[in-house]
Amino acid sequence: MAVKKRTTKGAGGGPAGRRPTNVPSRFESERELIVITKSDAGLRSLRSEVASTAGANVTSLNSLLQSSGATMTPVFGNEDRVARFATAAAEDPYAAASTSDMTSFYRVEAADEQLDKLAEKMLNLALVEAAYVKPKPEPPVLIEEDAIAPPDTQEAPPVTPNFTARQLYLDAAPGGIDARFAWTRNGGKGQGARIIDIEGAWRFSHEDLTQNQGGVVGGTQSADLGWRNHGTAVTGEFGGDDNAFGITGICPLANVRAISIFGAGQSTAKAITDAANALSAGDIILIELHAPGPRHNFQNIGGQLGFIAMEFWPDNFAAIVYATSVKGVIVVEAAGNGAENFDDPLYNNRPAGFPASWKNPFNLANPQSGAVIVGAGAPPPGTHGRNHGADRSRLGFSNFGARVDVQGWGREVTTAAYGDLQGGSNEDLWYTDTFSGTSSASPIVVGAVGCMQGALRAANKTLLTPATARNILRTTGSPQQDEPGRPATQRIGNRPNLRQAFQQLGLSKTIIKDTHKDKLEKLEIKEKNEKLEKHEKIEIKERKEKIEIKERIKDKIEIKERIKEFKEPKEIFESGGRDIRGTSASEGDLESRVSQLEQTVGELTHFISGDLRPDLQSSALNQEDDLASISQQLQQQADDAKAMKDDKDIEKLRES
Amino acid sequence: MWLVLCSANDYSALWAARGLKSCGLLPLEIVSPESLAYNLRFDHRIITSETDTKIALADGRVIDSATVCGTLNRLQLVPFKHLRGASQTDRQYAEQEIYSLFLSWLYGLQGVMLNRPTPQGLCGAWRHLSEWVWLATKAGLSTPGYKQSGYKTGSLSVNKSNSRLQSLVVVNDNCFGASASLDVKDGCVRLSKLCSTPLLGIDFQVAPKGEWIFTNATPMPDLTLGGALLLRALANGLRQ
Repeated sequence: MAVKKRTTKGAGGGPAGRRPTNVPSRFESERELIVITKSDAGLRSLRSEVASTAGANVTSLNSLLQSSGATMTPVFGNEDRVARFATAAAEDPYAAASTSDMTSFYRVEAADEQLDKLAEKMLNLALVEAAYVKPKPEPPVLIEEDAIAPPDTQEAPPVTPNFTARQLYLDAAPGGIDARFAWTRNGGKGQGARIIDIEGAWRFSHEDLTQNQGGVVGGTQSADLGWRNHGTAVTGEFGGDDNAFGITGICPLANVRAISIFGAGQSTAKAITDAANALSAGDIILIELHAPGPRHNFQNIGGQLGFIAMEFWPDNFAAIVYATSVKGVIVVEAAGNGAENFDDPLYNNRPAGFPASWKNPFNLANPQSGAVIVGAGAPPPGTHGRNHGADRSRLGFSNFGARVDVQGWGREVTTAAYGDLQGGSNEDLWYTDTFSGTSSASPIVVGAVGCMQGALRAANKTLLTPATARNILRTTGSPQQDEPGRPATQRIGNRPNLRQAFQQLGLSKTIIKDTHKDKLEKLEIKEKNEKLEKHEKIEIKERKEKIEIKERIKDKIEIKERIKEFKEPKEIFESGGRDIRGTSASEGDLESRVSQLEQTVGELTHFISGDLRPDLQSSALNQEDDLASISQQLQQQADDAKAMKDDKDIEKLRES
Repeated sequence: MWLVLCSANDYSALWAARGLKSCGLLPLEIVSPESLAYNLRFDHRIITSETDTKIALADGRVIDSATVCGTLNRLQLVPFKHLRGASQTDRQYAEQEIYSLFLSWLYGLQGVMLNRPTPQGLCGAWRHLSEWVWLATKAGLSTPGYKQSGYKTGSLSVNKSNSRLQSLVVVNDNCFGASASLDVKDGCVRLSKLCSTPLLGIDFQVAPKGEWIFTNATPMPDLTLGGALLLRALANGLRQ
């Protein structure tokens, strides 16, 4: 049964806000045992054992590893390399402590059934500060009975139809994010932006993913179709090719690559740091994963209940901090589909095995990873003929809380893969109408950031940093709506509005360069024509006024001249150059003087034409206060305080 | 509420204040020493176990000690311009009284304060160079010879040619700034502990062979040297 044949009900997003069903996961992945050693131990992982550069006793650790047939490898790569990088990065104001801490993270590889016992034993060792087993991560796509239906068996037509009309998330706000507006601005299709998606597998041979992609650059892809469909759908949302068939991504000209969490020596945290190292400041990482959290003791009870964002685990958190703080890369992270409240005190409890210094990363009062966390909101009712509740209301499965920055469509996302919109035997031609979850929400935000970065780069403006990206996503956009049982107080943030964001970034006046003659551009041309008409009307009005002024001036000069002739009938003023008083009172000279006057008036009227006038909305006054202005403000306060104090003293003196 | 007490030209502190705000320390008030000194009303009550202070500033803000969570203290001097009309004897007495009042208020203010005042300085003890050299030696840092002749400030026997100046900043036992060896950083942390100054700037001359030689220290470092990581440490420190 194809998903497109579904009825109007929608799990998790229906009017009743149904929570995820207990459908077991079908995504294969691995648990990871992470050990954090004490930083002064100076451990170095050798081929079969561990040594200490600080002379610490590693006998018990090595014997434990040997007895259990386990190996221990540094999560982020060779310790000396990481340490060297930490030293080098220390000269950079954005770097230091986080990288030095990263040398203490190790992954213990052993049979899955041994991991829990090994973690317990590790915690008893003097060298070990923390040891915890990370549950299996999964892609945060909504799992339902019908969502795992096989693709449409009907073969695809010779040419794939254009599905962009079904991608309503591209449309104007509040329903969409107004990507179509961004496309009309220089760089607004994400030119120059680079994105790396972190999850399990992709199909980069898909017909709509052939341009501007660099393939899989780390880890080993899973052979599982579920992972592959997911990765393909995600990358299609922001990176779908800009062509006349299938779908078009939100920032189709951005460069898209991928890193898998699978493979020898690979882990979720390492995938994040690998991605950060492959990118530059202002580029984007997308973490398309979630995992069972403490609600059900890190167990997968089915239906993704209790699944949370990946930054909860210390190694992932350190890797994200590295990406955002050291590398300046914007990290976008799915909030997860666990229907969890991140503000629940449950998340303040330090899980067993976590380091003593760990603090709940979902609590805004604690140190933050700097990632943008994305929740899933309902699309406008009636999208694809289905209703998931009020537009922009939280979908029942989406995690929520103060830490969640922004929302994207968590239902009805038309993109590549799965095959329920267009199926057949060739996977490269598959499309879906129903991609969902915080999985579908996060790429929308990535696409929005990609458009902003492309336009900023094209305008030669400073790129967004992780902090400014998070800020603009939090402060602009279409607000979250209430839905019975899912009030807006269950925060998932605003839906991005690129038109508003561009305005705030001072990008709304950049030149239109694209040549596509789609409806939007026709609309733009219409708007332009209207403006021109308006402008012409103003000009005609101005001309009329000028003629009136000219006539009045002419009259005045004639009167003046007559008065002069009357007073000094024989005297004539001598004047050279452009003196408008002229050299004679003859009628011809009078005309030339009038024409000079006209010219002067004309110049005065048009010395700054409309198109040259500065955009005052994007002036320095609209920017964040710089230090000089804070200083001036403080100085002003000081001066005012002194003046007030003096006045008070004088008053007292007078009274006495 | 978090406080950043600094003068208008202390750009380092203003930079930190802006960064602390972005780290989520809200509300955060930047208050200049002039605003504090030229207050409308200063109520400071001391009882056996605690103090209670309310300062009404001219701009309408009220600093209530009960609402203060943490303070970045960069106060060096209390402005006394408003006392110029008084006779010298009265002025000197008033200056001492006001200084004591500030010292008492800052010392008793709840929450973390970087740095707490001491009788030797409102934002941490200002020390003579000889004392810094002595403390740095005790902390295990490489120190140069110190020579004192008469009452003039002593001099350090550091060969400044071919060496470069480097500065490190210690915040709550974490060292930030230039790239230095762990030994040097550990020494800086020890020095910070020895002089009970959790926010401490330390200057070095780095010899061509790479030896880091202590040259001075200050309780009012340039915070921008530590960048975002220092800000994070500062924010974490002030939250505790």
